[in-house]
Amino acid sequence: MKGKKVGMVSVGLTKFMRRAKETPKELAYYSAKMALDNAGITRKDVDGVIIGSAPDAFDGVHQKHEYLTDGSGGFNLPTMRGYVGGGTGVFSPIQGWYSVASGMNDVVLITTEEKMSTIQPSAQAGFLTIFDNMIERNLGPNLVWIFALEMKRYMEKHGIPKEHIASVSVKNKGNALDHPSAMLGQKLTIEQVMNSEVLADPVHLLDISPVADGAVSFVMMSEDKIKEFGIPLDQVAWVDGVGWNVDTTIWTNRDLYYPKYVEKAAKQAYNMAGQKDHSPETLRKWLSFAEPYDPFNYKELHHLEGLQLFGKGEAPRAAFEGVTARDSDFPVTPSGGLLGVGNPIAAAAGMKAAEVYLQLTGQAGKRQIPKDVTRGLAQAWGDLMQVGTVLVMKGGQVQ
Amino acid sequence: MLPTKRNAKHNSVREVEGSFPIHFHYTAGISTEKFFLGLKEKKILGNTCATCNFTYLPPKIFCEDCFAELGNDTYKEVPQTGILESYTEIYYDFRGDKLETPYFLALIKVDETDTMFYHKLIDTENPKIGMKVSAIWNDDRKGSIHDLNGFKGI
Ligand SMILES: [Zn+2]
Repeated sequence: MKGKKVGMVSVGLTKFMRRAKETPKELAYYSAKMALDNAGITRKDVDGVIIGSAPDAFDGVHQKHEYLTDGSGGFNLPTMRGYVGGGTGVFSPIQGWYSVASGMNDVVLITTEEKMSTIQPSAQAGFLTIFDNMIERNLGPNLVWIFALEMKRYMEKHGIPKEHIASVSVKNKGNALDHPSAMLGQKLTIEQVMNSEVLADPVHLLDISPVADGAVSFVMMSEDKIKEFGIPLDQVAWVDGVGWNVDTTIWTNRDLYYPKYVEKAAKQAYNMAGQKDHSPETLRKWLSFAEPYDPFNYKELHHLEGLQLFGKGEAPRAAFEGVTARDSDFPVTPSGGLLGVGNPIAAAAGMKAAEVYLQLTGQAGKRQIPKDVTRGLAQAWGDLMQVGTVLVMKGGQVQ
Repeated sequence: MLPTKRNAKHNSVREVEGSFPIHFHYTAGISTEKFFLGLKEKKILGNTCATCNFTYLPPKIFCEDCFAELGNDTYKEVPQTGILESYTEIYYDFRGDKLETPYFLALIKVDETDTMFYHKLIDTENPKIGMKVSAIWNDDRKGSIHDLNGFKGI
């Protein structure tokens, strides 16, 4: 691990809602304040602020970094916004890590926020603004369609039965029943997922995460400051490795069945953490659990393969057979994920990073993984399907 | 900027109407203008990075890998046939409104290119990944992506 040792010491999460009464800035304030309170510090102790938020089009506010600054605690402080689309929520704590590891800051407050309910008639229309203006926008793409193309390619390449993919919706929406921020925890059957409405074949309604409003914040500190504030180590999760990677910006220009950019980001993070053996069996022992990005059910599986946690084409069967259930050997998305907790873009991936912290510090309540957990991973994916962001953290007492 | 109609129900001012009243004249750019002019003449133009032996469709003025500039002599007409690499049948439009008639979108690997091309799949009864497809032209061509109606299974 390069640079100074950096720990996450608290998180704050608003409830994820279909339509919040609060503005984006007010949501940011609530989660930021909660994170400060949970760390037992005030804004005066903070020396750097990081904001993560996805396309400006959703909030109908341009320059969201400036707009969100005060709500995120940035008044009179060095403040920056990072933005890699859906990958943002995991990238923001990575930014927190390097701003402390570099020695620039000692205490950073990080907020990821998204309000998807402002844009009319639906968030889907906003996604049009992220595509190439010359060719793709003229064919009116939306994300459901391009993910349908990817999902079809993935299923075709490995001969994956739809039931195996549908099982991820059942697992994650079920896990979300235990998450206090969750919007759509549900007990479902594979048949209900399979028989839900077709949006763009092979994508059905219950294959997708619901858009939401919400915010998630973190406090991260140098080891020296953790000692100075007297924060107990069982309340700390150390950053163990980080990685991110951007594949070609021509989203059509990859074989969509396998996310190479996630593989590259993951290997960067594993190597940084000193984990050089990248075989799935070793990695599933080294990591106690994972929170891969699941805006669609097939994406959790796709990402598990990119993360090297399962071989190519092997994740769907494993999920179907229960290998990734919360009480199994290798729990995946114990939080309930985007599918169950909800998908306020940057905050959704922020929620995944927060889950790694909460599980490692034994604060996950009814969601707490029954076995001992020492190390966890959060991963997100974004831009136009070509960014992978990976954060590995370990428990405060783990060497 | 007045309260929305939805507020009336709960006698609140929870929401206010608004929009960004802006319009754009996007620059087509050096390579895309050539590509559009080609479409008008029923030609599909790509260009090739000789160093990487990689053909871009649509063309680009640089190779994203070796970062070489791809000059005028790199452009070439590519075949109007290709392979269907993936497809989806769309039931909602891009705004999320239900379509009266669903239709197909596809990713096509045009022959002699190394990229995938995004367009409609039309008049194809039983689409199958791996099938051969051919470009179908619009009779009224103006120099846009709509000069192609789409690709059809052959
Ligand atoms: Zn090249």
